[in-house]
Amino acid sequence: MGGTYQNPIDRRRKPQAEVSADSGFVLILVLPVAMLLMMTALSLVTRSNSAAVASAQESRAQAARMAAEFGLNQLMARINTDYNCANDTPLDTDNIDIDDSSPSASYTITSPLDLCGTDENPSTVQSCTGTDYTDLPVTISGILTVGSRTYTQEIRRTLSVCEPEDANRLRVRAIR
Amino acid sequence: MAKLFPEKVHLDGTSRLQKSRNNNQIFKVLPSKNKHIGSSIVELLLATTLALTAASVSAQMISRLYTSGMNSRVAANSAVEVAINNDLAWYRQQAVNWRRNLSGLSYGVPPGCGETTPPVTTMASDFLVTVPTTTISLPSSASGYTLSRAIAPDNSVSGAVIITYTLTVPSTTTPIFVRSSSLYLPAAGWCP
Repeated sequence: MGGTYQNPIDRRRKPQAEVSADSGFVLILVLPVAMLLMMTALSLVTRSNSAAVASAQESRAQAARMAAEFGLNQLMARINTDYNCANDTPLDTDNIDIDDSSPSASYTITSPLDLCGTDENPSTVQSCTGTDYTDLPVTISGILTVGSRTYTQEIRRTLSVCEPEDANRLRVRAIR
Repeated sequence: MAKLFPEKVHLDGTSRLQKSRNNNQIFKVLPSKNKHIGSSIVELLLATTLALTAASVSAQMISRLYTSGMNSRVAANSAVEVAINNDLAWYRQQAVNWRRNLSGLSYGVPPGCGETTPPVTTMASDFLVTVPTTTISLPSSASGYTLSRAIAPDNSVSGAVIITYTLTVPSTTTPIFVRSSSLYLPAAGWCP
């Protein structure tokens, strides 16, 4: 039954005890759930963002790696045809764009700058008649440009080259 | 004895009633007096259990939603990269085996050796005749995408093949990306 009020004004007030009980229940039940949900949502958003960013980075890295491999294959083909020790500039070390790529991709032959050594220190290339070929370390950088950002991947390989009977030419026999 | 604190009276002589105390306590667990006031230990445990259960269920639901929705693009991206890698590896293997002698690590002399006038495509064209060009099939995780491949001889240098991959979404005309790679034919190194 209703309680006794010493002051008539107190009758108009909601009993304090019931308010306290509701507030306590709300505090205990709703607040932890809300906080946990918020933390879970934030955690998932962070995870999804990091996964998407990592995936995009990996995709761009692979595109840059493909550009570097493109350059390596071009280099080997050019050594067989164009590049030789007699050229003044045996290797084209400029940044070369790969046609029709989107986003734009390019490659650069970083080393060697000279296929057959320098004039002061020429290297001896083994003859193709034997089986002991000469090692030629090469480094090619693949570059992918997305907007204002560039992604670079560098690959290093050692080519086995030899010199056929026709002097001033080289042949790439294998990739070691 | 005089009272230190005389009773407060109104002007008409009636006494003022004492004001009741405000109870500002949030929790008041006094079973002997007011059992209906505040929360008992059982209610607290029940509320905590409900809270943890609700959080766990909601986390699982959000995680499932995340896996099926947000992660699908990442999975599709990864599937496309793997498909390109596998395709390139297969063509590289074909290029390595082309004109290769079974006896060892030597190659037969390919056609088109010494060709210098562009287009220098004799060697690469001869290689491409021997290689089947199948379509690239993507796994179900990348079912919304179309990955196409174009393979052609390099017109500028003998012994090289250009492979171009284009990823598109059927509803759009602009490709997501166009990537080129190339193949080197090891047999080109065995030209005289």
